[in-house]
Amino acid sequence: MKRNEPPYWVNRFLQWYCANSLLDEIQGDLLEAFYYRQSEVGVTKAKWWFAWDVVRFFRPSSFGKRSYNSNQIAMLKNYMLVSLRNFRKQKGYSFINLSGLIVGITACLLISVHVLEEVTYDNFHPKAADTYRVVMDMYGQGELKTKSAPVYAAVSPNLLTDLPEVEMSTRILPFGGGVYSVREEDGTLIRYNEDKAVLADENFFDMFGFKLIDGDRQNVLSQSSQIVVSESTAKRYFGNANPIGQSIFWRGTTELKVSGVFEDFPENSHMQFELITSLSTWDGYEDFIGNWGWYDFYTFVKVADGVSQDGLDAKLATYLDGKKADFFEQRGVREEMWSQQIGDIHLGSVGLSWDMGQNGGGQQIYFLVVIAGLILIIAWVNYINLATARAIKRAKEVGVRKVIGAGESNLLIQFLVESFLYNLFAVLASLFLVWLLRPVINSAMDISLEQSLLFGPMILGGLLALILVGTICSGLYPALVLTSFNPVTVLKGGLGSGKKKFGFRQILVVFQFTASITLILGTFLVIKQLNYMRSYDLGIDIDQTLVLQAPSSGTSNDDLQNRVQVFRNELEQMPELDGFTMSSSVPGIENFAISGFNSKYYPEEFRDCYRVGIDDEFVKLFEVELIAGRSFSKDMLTDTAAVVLNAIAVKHLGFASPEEALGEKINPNRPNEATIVGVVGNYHQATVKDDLDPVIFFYNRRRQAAYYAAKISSSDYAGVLSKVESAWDEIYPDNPFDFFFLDEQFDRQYKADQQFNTVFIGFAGLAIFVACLGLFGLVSFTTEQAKKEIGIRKVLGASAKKLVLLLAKDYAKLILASIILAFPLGYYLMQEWLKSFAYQTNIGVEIFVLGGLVISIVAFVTVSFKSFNAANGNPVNALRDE
Amino acid sequence: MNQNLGNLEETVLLIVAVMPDEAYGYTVSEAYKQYMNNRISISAVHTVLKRLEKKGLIESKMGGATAERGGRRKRIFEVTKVGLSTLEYIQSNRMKLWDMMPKLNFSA
Repeated sequence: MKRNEPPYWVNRFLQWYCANSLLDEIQGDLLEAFYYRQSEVGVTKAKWWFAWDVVRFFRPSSFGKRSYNSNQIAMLKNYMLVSLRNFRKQKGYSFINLSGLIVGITACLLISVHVLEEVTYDNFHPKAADTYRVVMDMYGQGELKTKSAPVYAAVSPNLLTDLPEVEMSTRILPFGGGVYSVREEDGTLIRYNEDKAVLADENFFDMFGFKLIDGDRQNVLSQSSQIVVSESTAKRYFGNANPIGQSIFWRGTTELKVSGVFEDFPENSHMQFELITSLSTWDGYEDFIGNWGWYDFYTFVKVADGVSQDGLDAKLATYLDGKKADFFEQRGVREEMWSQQIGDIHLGSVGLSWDMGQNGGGQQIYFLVVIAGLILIIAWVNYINLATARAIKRAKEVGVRKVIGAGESNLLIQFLVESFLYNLFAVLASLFLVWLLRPVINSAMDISLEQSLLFGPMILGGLLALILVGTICSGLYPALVLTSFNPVTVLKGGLGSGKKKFGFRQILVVFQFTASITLILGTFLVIKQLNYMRSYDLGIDIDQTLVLQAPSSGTSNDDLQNRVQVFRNELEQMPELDGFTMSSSVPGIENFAISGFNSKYYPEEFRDCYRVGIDDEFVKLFEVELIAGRSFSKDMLTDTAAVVLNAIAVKHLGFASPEEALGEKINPNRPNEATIVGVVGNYHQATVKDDLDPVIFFYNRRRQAAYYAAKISSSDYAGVLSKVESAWDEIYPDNPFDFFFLDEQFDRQYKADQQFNTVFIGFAGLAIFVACLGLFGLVSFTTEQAKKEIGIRKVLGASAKKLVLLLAKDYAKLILASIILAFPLGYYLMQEWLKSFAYQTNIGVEIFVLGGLVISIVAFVTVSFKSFNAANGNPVNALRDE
Repeated sequence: MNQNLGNLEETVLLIVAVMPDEAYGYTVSEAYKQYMNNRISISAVHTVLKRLEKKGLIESKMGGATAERGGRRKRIFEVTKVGLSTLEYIQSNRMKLWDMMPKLNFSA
């Protein structure tokens, strides 16, 4: 019979697990069975049978007693014991080592939780992977002009019928803001200015994963004049009463019936709405399906299974060509739609105009991850440095172990076990620390670190990986160094000051400090840039300015108009106030009003400019620079057909100079023709992170103003406020008194930057701290090594100063090398970072000087702290022992 | 004689008893298949043999190696005196019961 072999690996497996004493009978029986079965059932089947039998024998009784009290386990116990003894014996180093690791891992953990939160935005919607927001790029003359988050009213319904890929689509119109009021039974009026209010299509709650607590999912938004409110909003308006069926008045006249209540939106959504009105409530809703001109609608679609984003984008890119071909050709423009997966909106919407929510920050996330990685690596490098430095102390232990018979692998395992214990303990301590610090950090930085995420599978799994990677990264090199000692040399005492292995340690220290210096430079730049932006001349005076939300609740436009006059007169009589103006927009609040305009240079092409409605006081009150012509005047009746341009709009419409533009027309020979009567300087509508935009000012157009602004000349803000409020309450009992100070409101735009600064500075500080900790440990070690040398030098007459210099000299070289490396690296990174700002501060020399100075001082203090001790000690103590 | 034997244990004990010098894991499982018309895995046979040996009903010695076994030796089992008397005891008890069986004639 031909000899067939049983499956090799299965047989090996059997031999591996089976106790030697049992191998004869077990393997013998199985091989015999295999031998006879081949002829009975065929080779293949016999092989499978063999394998199955081997699996059946895989049970404790086959293992013998080998694994129960084997040598390895005993040695493992010994390794741990020795590690703990060493830990206790050298408390100082162990403490430095461990605290460095703990700080590093804690920083890493905090950042990971934050990052995880940021990248999991909007992942709770049904079929989130197939849910997209449709946005568009707008081109003029082949050049990208604007990227718009909202699209046309007609896009949503038409996509649904035209594209088979699209299974569901919904629109959100962000114009639900204004005054909402409820009249209580006793006649009191509850009123709020709401800005988290929108209108939405009826399938809103099918599209998104927001939970409806009360109301019928299908019908909450299906009819006009229906409103759905959040749980907390319902409480604000109705207390504990049942909100369903109650009336809420929008802007005083529109009566809405509450049809449902939804759970407050989770924080990890870019949408944060409190009131949602049915879109059909909007006047002209019936015509939306053919409206290819009004693009204020956030449009979401769900696509069928298996449809890729590329496939969707390919259709979207040319979709508008089919709908607006004439328009595009006539005006020389083009619009291309594309899609964003809903989960990508939060971080991936940089550059999109008129977005909703606090989106963006992908770049900051990237920087944070880099910092977290750096801190962790610095902490591990500390471990490596200190462990190798300590190697000399432990050389005798290694020598004895080797003489007794430990192999390289045993020693390797020993030191890996040690680094495993350090990493494990550091991770556990960090987890505890983060859990402890979470509430403090949340309130201090105004972010939310969720407990559920901290103890979620992602973080815990990551920590497990971290322990393993850390064990290898930080443990391998010291273990290799330690095991490489020649036992004879070591036991003879030949291994002296350890200068031999100093090369690699030097490199590590240089790496740590290069990273630290780069972070210090970054910190200075981040601070400088924010200060630069904050103190940048906006072109408009926003100090001492009280802004009121204009009333929107009234019986009619005339009613509101009449009351404004009364209110205005009242305020103008107050001595504490200095001027009063009404406008459709104030700096620091995003302006949604934009349209295309012609001029004699662009008779056919429409050039996009922002619209701002102002009155005759605006330019004077806000101290906007008047470059040419004049501002509006209430004495000029023709000013209703006059406009004022800012300097950019002048250029944008083709005029060579402000003077040339004066007297010219915008939209010449069209019904909405208007004469340019003045040109004003540019001012920043939003932060100086953005570029300046072309703006056209209209004179009290449509007699609507969203904001009333007044300058305060008194320093008694509280007194002024209460006076203004009582005047308001008398004239506008149906409108809430909502105010803000313009400079504060404007500064709020820098909140995210401020947060980033705090986080950046905090973590950069941590990195430097950890690096210094390592330096300190290293210095104290080498100082101790050189204890006798110092003693002898002292006895021979060296001064303490000279000794400190001697000790610090080596480190000074390292720091210098780090500085030389870090400066160009830092310069490059800083330039990259600045590129994201429209207005950049310069990377001055002072940043480098300060950065170099700070690190030198910190490093010198760290080094000399220990060396002074050594240099000032009594040499007798150093030389006496042994 | 108060050894409690399970059904499988009793059968394996019997097989070992009828196969002098031939009973080891593989042959026992083959014999079981042959006489009982039922398959039993070798690992199960090993377990039963070990248990019987612990109870003192069988004893074992290491036998010779063969090429089929990949040069591995056999552990050959033999029934002990206790084992034999246990079998006899069980058998005699059964016979008593069989003797009491009423003679029924199903063909009528």
